[in-house]
Amino acid sequence: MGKKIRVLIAKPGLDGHDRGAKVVAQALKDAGMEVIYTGLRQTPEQIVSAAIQEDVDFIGLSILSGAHNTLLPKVVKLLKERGGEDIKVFGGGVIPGEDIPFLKENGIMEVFTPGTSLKECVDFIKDNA
Amino acid sequence: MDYIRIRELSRFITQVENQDIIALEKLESLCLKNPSKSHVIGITGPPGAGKSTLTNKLISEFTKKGKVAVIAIDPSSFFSTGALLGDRVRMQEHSTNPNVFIRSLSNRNHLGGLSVSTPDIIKAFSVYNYDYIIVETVGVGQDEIDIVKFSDTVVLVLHPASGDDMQALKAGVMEIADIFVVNKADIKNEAEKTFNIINYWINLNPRKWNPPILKTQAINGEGVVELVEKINKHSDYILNNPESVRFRKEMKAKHELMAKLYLVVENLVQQKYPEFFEENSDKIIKGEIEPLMAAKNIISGVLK
Amino acid sequence: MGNYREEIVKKFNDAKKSWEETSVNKTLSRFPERKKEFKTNFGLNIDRVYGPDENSDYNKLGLPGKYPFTRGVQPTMFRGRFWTMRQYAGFATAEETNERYKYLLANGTSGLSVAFDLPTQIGYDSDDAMSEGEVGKVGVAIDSLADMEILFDGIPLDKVSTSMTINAPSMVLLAMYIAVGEKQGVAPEKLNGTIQNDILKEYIARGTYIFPPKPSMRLITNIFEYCKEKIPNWNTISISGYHIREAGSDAAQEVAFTLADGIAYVQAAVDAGMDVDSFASRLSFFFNAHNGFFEEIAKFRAARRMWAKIMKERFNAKKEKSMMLRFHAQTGGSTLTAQQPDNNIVRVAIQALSAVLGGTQSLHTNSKDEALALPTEESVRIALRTQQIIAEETGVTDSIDPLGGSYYIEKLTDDIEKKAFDYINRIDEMGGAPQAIENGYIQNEIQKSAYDYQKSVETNDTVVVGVNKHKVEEQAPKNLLRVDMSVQVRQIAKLNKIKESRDNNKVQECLKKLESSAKDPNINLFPIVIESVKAYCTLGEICNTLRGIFGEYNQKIF
Repeated sequence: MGKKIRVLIAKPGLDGHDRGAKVVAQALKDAGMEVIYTGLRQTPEQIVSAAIQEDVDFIGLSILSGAHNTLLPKVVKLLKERGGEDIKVFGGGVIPGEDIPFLKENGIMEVFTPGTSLKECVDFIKDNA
Repeated sequence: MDYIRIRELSRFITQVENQDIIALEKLESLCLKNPSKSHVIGITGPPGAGKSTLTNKLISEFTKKGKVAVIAIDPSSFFSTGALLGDRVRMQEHSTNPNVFIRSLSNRNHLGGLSVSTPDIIKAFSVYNYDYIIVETVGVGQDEIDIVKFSDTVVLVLHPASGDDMQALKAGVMEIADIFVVNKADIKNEAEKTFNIINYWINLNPRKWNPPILKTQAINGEGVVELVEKINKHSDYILNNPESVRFRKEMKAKHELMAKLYLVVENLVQQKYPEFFEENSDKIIKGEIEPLMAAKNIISGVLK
Repeated sequence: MGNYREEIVKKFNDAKKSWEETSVNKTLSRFPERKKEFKTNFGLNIDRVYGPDENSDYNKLGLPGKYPFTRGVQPTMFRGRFWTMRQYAGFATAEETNERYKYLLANGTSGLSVAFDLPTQIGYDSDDAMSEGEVGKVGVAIDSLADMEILFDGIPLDKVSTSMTINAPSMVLLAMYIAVGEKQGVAPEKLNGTIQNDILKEYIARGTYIFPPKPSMRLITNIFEYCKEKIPNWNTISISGYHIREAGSDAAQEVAFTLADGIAYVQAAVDAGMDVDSFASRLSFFFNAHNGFFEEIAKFRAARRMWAKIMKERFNAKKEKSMMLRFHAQTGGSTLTAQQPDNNIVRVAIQALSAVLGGTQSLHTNSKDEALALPTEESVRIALRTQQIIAEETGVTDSIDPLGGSYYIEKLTDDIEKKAFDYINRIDEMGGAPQAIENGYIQNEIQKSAYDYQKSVETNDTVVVGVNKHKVEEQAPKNLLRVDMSVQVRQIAKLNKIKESRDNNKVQECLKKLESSAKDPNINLFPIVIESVKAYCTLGEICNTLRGIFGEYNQKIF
């Protein structure tokens, strides 16, 4: 029995727009991955605990509220504190291009902005698994 | 439990889930040193009955007394083999509780309501001293009866339903239930009807342990304390009447033995002859060989 | 007359047949069409050309302001006055937003539309742990009546109509608005505006719910009841398809699920003992003006006709006003692209035109930069100017329902009506919208459409200009509007000051009364909430008190 790629898809912060998160989750599933969906309004603590218990390879964070600069780096920081530094974090949503360097400096591996194709997202995970 | 130990356990479960032989050997040696003291509760029932919501409330109750592990199993897609595991959404309030460990599994196309590795993962939680291990089955509404072999108490969760739905459940699943739950009891008339059908069925099929029927509303926690009482009562019962679970234990032993035999053989073959599957299935498709013949050839080749 | 129509239909059909067999086939053999088949976004085939058919029937159209209101809800429509140009706005603190409102009013906007930040929408104060990073981000932060007083400072509430996008805690925000009015000396019956107050679509699509469905429906019914007496001009709900469409539904699903929600609200109020004609005229709707120009126009017309029938036939409404579907429209946010953002101005203009031709009562046009961040003042102005150009320059406002009678539009209107009623019937069989949401049926249908759409973009079956066709290299845009972290700090400082200066005994008294009243489903909570906000109980305190009694809703995944 081979290893499966496991990905946690979560929505940090308070915005309820989960169309993107759900579409990505569905695409990853169709690409043969195991996707754990934790739903809306997740605090960084909840996301990190879930990711560690589920031993995922990736965390995908979808955020449209503008709170990305606060919440995304916090997830990475907590992962480090809790022995999950090997879990790779990517983000998506309404994130201005000029914020991306800051997020990458803070441990977010990739940021997918509006217009990204599902294939790019799937390929990113497969290439980095 | 500190973060390091939680991380260690989560990685260990992954190895066990992938049926890594070294991890499984380690697990077995731990099991021998540390006989299980956990109470394993199986939660099964048709889709939409409210299993995850009920599990969420059970976590709240059980954490008052000890450490709780949850194994939540969802179906995988037959073709892509991927899976969307969404049971956790309803339990996320416990995510940060250090005494709760929730693990979502895909059944990886295995039938029977559990994944192949579920029994081993139950053991892993047990050697890590979780007091309560809740196993939520796939819940696709088919006969999911493997759960009875691996849990001490089986809770069958039903929602107030039409006669047709009850009809579909009748045989196996009803027989394995130690406790019946009629959830969404606020739908009063239908809940009453469902209650009566179950009651009638129990009277027709008497057992030594007389399975109670409870009405709950998982969404607001009504009836959950009573459910916990009954689960504990059932736990006492099997403790005092070990003969009542003899059949289960026998089935479990046989099931596990068979599964491990398959695993050992598969690994053996894999080591000596990694292409056995592709090459032989190809021949079978072409009509050059029949499967039994192929299997015998492989084994005799490996044993040479 | 009947024979005359049959004759026309026959004549057309015969002519069309021979035209297809000769001219069309001849052309096709040399120049095939762009696509094998042309389809509406809700999945039906589009004919090469439409003409009179046996289904055309005057009774399906009526006249403007007359049942079944297919052609509009007022007899003169935009010949009388234009739609309300209402730009959704709000960010940071009440001070900054108040300034933006004054700017919009000075530029000719005719109604305000308040965007609240997410903590406000979910009933958390700015100092709540859940609010971290979110304060003032997608809207204005309101913690107490003090913020609301600043928000409307210098804006006379008897002169503007105000729409508030608020759902789960709508009772609290409306209570604050009433209190501000009182302080300005404006009596409640003089207040004009709308609260969104549509909780069902929060469970379906938008996600800013707090309480489970049952107590949420009670709060809504309480509002209906209170407002029909005290604030008769207030639109007590804006039943919203907008977010359903943004979540990925097609046009027919948007109408179907919105009207199914509407049916549930009317039923809840009727079940609570209210006469349908006593509140139905205060229900309003909110739709998306999306891509698919003709489909959208048809959608608005179909929705009006369907609601009229539902109110008359299903709920036995007697007053014509109860049967009128009045709606606000907003151009489709999810159609905006981050690539070549200037293209969005064109998209918005065409979408806005469809809303106008569909007879909207008010309109919000999106700003070009909204796929990137909050809109800047400049881009908001272009969006508003787009509406003003449609109103003042194009002449499309001079005749009512100018596309009525177009063979194609009428066929699309009929098709959408049919498909949407099929959905409503299925939802009825499940026991109504709340049950269909509980089962996940509605969410799943939307999710399927969303996924299919995304896949069609990736295979280039659906073209998004600048994204999968006609792409250019571009730089990340600069000068985006940002809300910095100091907003949260300032907001918390204000909140602490209020908590020190108010009468805290009175606050505790109010909250206790609220708690005990919430336990009794027969008590209308609105007057108690008004009393509480006047005592400067915070939004978070009020919502947390109710959370204690009602519990919290949890999303489900199916």
